[in-house]
Amino acid sequence: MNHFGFTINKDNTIDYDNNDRSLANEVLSHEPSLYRCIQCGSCAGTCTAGSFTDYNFRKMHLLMRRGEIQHLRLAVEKCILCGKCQLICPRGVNTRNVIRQIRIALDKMN
Amino acid sequence: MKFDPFVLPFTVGLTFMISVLLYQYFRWYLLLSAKEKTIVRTNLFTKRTFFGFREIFSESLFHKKIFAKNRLLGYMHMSLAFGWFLLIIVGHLETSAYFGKAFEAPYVPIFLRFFQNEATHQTAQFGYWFVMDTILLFILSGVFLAWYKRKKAKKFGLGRATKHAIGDRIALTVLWFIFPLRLLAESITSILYGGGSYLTFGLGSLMEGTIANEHTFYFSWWAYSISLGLFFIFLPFSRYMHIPTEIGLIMLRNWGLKTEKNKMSCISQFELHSCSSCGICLDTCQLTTDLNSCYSQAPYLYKSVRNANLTDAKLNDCLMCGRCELSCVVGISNNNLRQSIRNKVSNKTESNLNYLNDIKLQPINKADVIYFAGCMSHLTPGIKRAMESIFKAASVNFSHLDQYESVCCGRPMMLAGMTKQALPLINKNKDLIAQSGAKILVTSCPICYKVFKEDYNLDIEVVHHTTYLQNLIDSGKLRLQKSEMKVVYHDPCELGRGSGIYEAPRQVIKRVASLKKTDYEKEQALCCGGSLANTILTSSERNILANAALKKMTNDKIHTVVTACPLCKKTFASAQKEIAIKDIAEIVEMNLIPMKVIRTKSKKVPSELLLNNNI
Repeated sequence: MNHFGFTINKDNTIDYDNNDRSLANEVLSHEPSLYRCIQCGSCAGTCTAGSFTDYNFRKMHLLMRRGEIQHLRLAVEKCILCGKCQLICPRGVNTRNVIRQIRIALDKMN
Repeated sequence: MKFDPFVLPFTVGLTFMISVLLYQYFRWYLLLSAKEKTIVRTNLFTKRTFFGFREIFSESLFHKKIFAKNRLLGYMHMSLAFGWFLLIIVGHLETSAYFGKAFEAPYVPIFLRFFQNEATHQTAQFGYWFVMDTILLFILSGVFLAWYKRKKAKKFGLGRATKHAIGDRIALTVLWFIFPLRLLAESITSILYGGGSYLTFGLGSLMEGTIANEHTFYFSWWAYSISLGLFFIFLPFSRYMHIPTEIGLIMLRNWGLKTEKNKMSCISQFELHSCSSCGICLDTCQLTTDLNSCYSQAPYLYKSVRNANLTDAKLNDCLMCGRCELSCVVGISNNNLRQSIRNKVSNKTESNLNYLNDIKLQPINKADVIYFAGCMSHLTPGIKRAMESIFKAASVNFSHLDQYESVCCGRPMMLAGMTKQALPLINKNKDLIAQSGAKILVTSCPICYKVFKEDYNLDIEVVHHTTYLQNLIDSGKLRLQKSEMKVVYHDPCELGRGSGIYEAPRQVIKRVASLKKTDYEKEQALCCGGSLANTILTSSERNILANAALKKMTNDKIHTVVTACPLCKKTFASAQKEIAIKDIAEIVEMNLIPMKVIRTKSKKVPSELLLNNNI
């Protein structure tokens, strides 16, 4: 077989019709204030962990909504729960509880 | 041998209860660490044991602390506890006086009037009957009050009584029946066979010819025995477990054991089961008074842990402000206990903070004093700037521990029960502190202060900026003018009740402003509502708590509130606009003389630093 010097990448299409919303739904049922999020990014701007890594609340929220559980798991474990995002949030999202609920839901999945 | 089948329910119940209690206590005994066992052993034969017994008398029997809260409530508890104790003691004395033996089967003194009711015409016997009737009347008055308290809790100084789980309700009902049934049994016996004094004979006379007959006589003794037996069976699984457990708790505490915040130790188990759900703490909880949310307070939490139906909201909907601890008549350390339950629940939650090992921060300059503003002060930069000005005015050689980006102190994670997972944060900060070579660590945030002080085991002195400011003023390094501002001081929970710092901030404020008194000073201080310990409250609920606290403190007369916590400042400031919220450092900075010091503008972050951090 010929080697062309490249491999076929794994398909990373996110299928919105078939993605796994169960975790997002569970977290939202425990912390409905997340419905108010407008993805403004204030949380990402102030994030302590975000100043050291690629983690931030906004990105994590997006991963959760898309149902990308593996990426979400790697992201959420970087959070230090310092709560700056909660104080800065203009929409009053209870961010610390969102993180806690995601962690609980991920633990349950294990 | 004195025996009748009706004593069986009582005997079975008593045996069952003792077996369960022994099993439980043995399990908790196994939780004692070697160190704790040594502490108990060294203090066992000292005066501490005597003090323990003294406390058992004053608290478990007389309920002195409840008397201090409300006399009627104190009398109710005392009549039930001390009365029942007297009934048992005098009952045993009476039994040994009749039968001439030191010990009889345990049911004989309880059902003595059944086994021995003939008058022997001795004065002592009539004396015993009189005394026993009086004690029974004493207890019955308590039972009546207990029933009345369920209807009118306010008369007993309680805003609300605790809602009981089904097991507790059954045990409570059975308890209410025990003594009226004893009265009924003794009264019928008195009129049919003799014995008894003014109460039992008097009531018996009324029942003569109607209720009192052979059948009711036997039936009433059976009923009394069953009620006792049932109560004993329910006791280990209901709130009445506090009766035997509190005695153990008092002894352990007197022997020098303390509740740990990170582990469910032996004494934590004793505390967990010593809560009697009396409900006194409910009225001090701001969630109850301001939000009418009454499901997660200490008695409900302990109940759900005991009954293994703990929910996430029940565990985490608590400000951990510590107000309930002060009102607890059993002296349970609610915060430590809740913290150890949170730790137990969340100790396996996944967390990976290994990236902290690779991050590159701005090098820490060598200095005498190192200043840690904390995450919250980064969101209230006025505090940070004020501290910088003060350090410069006092010519202190200081450097920042977290000038641009901060590594969190770890306490927010700990409060969420992830104590073990917060260790990388603690280690990182310890390294940074060691780099500075400083002798004093000053922090503006009481949340950080508490964790630095208690969990970091640092070699250097840790001070909160209130204490540090007082030291600077006392040593004459700061020259201040007194302004005409009228202010009230809000004690942050973590600084006041949490760390016992009450005087330093007041002394500092008195130098620069006119400090007015509130009804919520020192230990009685209110929580701002912003507490990181509570992850359940919504932002609007937090605002309600903050506004209620401000209203109570200022009475709409004072327009400036001074606090010493960036989180309190932020919470109060974002909840309303009418009252100015200042940090103590800010009002000190405002009144510095001479005003040569110009606020330093925060420097730009060096660009190479930003690049390094974009991992």
